[in-house]
Amino acid sequence: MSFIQALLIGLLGYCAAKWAVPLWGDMGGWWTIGRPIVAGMLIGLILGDVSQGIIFGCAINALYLGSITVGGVAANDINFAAYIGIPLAMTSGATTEEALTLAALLGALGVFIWNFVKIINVYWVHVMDRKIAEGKLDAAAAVPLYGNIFLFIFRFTPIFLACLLGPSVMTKVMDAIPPQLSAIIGIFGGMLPLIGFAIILKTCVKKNAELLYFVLGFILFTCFNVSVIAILVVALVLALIDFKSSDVVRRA
Amino acid sequence: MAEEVKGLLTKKDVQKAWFNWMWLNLSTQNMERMQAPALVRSLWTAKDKLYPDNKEAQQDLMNRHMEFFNTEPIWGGLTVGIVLAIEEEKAEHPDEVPDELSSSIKNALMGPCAGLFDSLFQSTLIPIILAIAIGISAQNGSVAGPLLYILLFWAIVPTVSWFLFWNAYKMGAMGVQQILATGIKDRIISAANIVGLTVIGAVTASTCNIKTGLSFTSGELVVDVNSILNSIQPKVLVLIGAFIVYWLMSKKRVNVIVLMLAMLAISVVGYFTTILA
Repeated sequence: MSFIQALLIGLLGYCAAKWAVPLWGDMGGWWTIGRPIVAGMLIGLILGDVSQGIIFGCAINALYLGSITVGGVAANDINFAAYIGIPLAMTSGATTEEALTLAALLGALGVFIWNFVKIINVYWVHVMDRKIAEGKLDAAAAVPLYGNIFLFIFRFTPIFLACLLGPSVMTKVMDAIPPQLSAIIGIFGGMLPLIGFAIILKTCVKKNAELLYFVLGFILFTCFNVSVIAILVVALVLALIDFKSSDVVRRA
Repeated sequence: MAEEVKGLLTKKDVQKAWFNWMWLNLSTQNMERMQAPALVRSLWTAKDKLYPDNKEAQQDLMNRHMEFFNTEPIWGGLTVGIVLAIEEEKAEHPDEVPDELSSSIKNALMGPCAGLFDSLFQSTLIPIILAIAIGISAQNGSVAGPLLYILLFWAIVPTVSWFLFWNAYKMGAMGVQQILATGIKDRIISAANIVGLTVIGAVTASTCNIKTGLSFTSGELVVDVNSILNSIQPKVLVLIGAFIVYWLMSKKRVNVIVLMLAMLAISVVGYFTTILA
């Protein structure tokens, strides 16, 4: 693909990454052009075959349909899966299955970038602390704007380079990776979200006994095959009972 | 104009805070304090209305909220609306509203909001409209799918987001006095916790997967450990794993990065010993 095309895909890929700033944050970015089905449309437009792009986009999006990020932790990175996976699959004439395999691997590798950026972003927090202490309030408030630069570097660069260097380099990289790696990454991805959930649990749990509600939700989902919406209703009922009874206790 | 709440902030001010929150809520997402920078910026947009010409108070406002903050940002951002309302009350009645109130309400609500809206928004709404879009375009690559998704997303999501933010702000503004007076705060927080915890339990079960590859052979009989475990309790390994991780993070204060590396190591070892699969 041409330099301009790789550049455009790189820029869009950055805008589509979670936490990116340019398109009104995650609203225009991650949730709109970040969805593989939409990414497929845009990449298809850039590379000259919209419907093929969308077909790949749909396949990859279906793969990640249930993917969520909780507590800032993601089990897979849809951004690389879409913005590297789709262009490479399109320019190498891959089948949909091959595109999916490539995307899955990229999705796993992207998680490391995810966590890496989350670590180095701590720098900006301290910059902001300092500016507030010095009374430079407007400068402090600007930090969330330009602090996105770290994300830009580690999203734009890999996407741009991968697209520019093309499928030949990628196939060599893919072949060099042992098949056990995807199995291991699969296992890792299955337990990684527990960290994100634990982060939220820490902010919710005030007394240890309350963890019983966590177990309840877990059991409702696994044993009774109840949908999350239904579990929400149960939770609301329990909350209402608790709210009413705490009033009774108080007045007693 | 009937929508405006009597106070220091106009509806436009609240909109500005909401817009900035939606724009930058995760822009400097970080390991240490997560979404705090964005929250502070959102409050910064109102600083001149809350404390005109009072640099010190503005500084204190921003400084106070640089603490750890994380919630589901799009709909759970209503928490920011509530913080804004409490800070407005505080600016109007500095002697009546303690520093800790906005902090404690924020800390109390961010967890339940995360659990609630991660499941409603990320786990329910988005997969539904995506599934429709994919269903339309998967075979023929028609642009109808992506365009429909975009249409539905933009019709529903920002509307609900603003509705929640604005109403949470209005409730917070009217509610602060009552909250302080009747001690209803703890009861609401307790109820909110129940919702959050239950829902997180469900989402954890649906998101995570830990299986063992162990099996025992005894003559002709092959016993698959996983199916035995699942008959006791489906996904029991996930449940145990959740408690271990929670205990490590809250009681032992293990660093997140250390945990991730440990999980990676466990995945590698687990794979090669077939303990994990």
